[in-house]
Amino acid sequence: MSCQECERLIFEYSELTSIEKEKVNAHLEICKSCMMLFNSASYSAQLIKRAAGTIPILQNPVRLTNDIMNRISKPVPHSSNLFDFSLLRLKFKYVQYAMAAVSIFLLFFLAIEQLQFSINSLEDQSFRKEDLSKLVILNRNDFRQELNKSKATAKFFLANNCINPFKINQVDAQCLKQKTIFYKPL
Amino acid sequence: MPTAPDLIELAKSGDHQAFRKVVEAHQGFAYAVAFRFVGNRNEAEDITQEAFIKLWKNIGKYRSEIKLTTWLYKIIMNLCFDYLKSAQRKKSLKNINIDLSPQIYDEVNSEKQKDDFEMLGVIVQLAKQLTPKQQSVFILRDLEDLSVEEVSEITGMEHGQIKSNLYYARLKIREGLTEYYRETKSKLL
Repeated sequence: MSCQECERLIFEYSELTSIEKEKVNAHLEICKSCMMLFNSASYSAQLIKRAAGTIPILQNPVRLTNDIMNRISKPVPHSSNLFDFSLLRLKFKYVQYAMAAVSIFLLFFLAIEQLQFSINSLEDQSFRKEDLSKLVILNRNDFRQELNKSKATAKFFLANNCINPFKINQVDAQCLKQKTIFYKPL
Repeated sequence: MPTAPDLIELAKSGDHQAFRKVVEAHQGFAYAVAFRFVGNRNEAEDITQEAFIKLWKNIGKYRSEIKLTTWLYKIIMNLCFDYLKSAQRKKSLKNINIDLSPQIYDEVNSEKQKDDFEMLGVIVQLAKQLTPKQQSVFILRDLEDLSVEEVSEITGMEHGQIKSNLYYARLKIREGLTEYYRETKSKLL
């Protein structure tokens, strides 16, 4: 047996089989350094055993028990608050449904708006191509005169200037078409 | 009188009184284990308290084929490692001194008992310098006197790993004790 092998077994001496112990003992008889280590390790093992036999004692077990029980008495899954919590969850669920409904409505609204805008653009194009020749284009002075003819028509025009309230560079083609027809000279 | 598994079953259904009995029966054991890991009475009490709170929260997962003490060992060991891992603790561990604060003697009277507690304090402080694997194996096997099978069940380590860690732990503890003797000329050794 080598010293290295013996050193390892020295620290496991109490757990060795009788055959292993005999082998270690045989090596210890002929090796002084291993014998010194064996004595030191045995003494260390004794002290560890002494420490193992010393049981740390809890100073105030009643207080500790009460502290633990007080902490677990706070709302836990076993308590009746479970119902309140599920109610809260239920309420939250309704809010979620409402939010989803509003989102769907907004999506529809935007889609319809987009569709209407596309139709208007198409109408605008066809209006420009086909009906423009039928319209009477007025110069600025004539246009003002036409407006002054009737205060009611002027009011209508001012109230409906055909400008997209969200994008001032966009003019509603259908509206413009109606106005143009409306202001045809009599 | 109901046994521990019976009490646990009752506690599972929310019976606080049954759980109180479990606490009363096992808190001394839990405290002793925690103290052997952290070497401080207040910290050991806090860890004991946390261990039972954790036990209560996870009581639904309890399986009767596992010993309650084995389960508690696992919980306490993990809580102790969390405590020891915290940066502040690491910092304080850098300056190794054998902390034998008077609190350890509060509960003992005779000279022999004081010596025994001092020896426990020295060994616990030396064990804190080991790696977590070495420390857990050393405490469970040598101080708690558990079998290799039990240590394996608690730590999840293979037998070979346990053997190897225990060897290095005992080697380091012996070296620590020798150094302590040289520095203090302690009458304990």
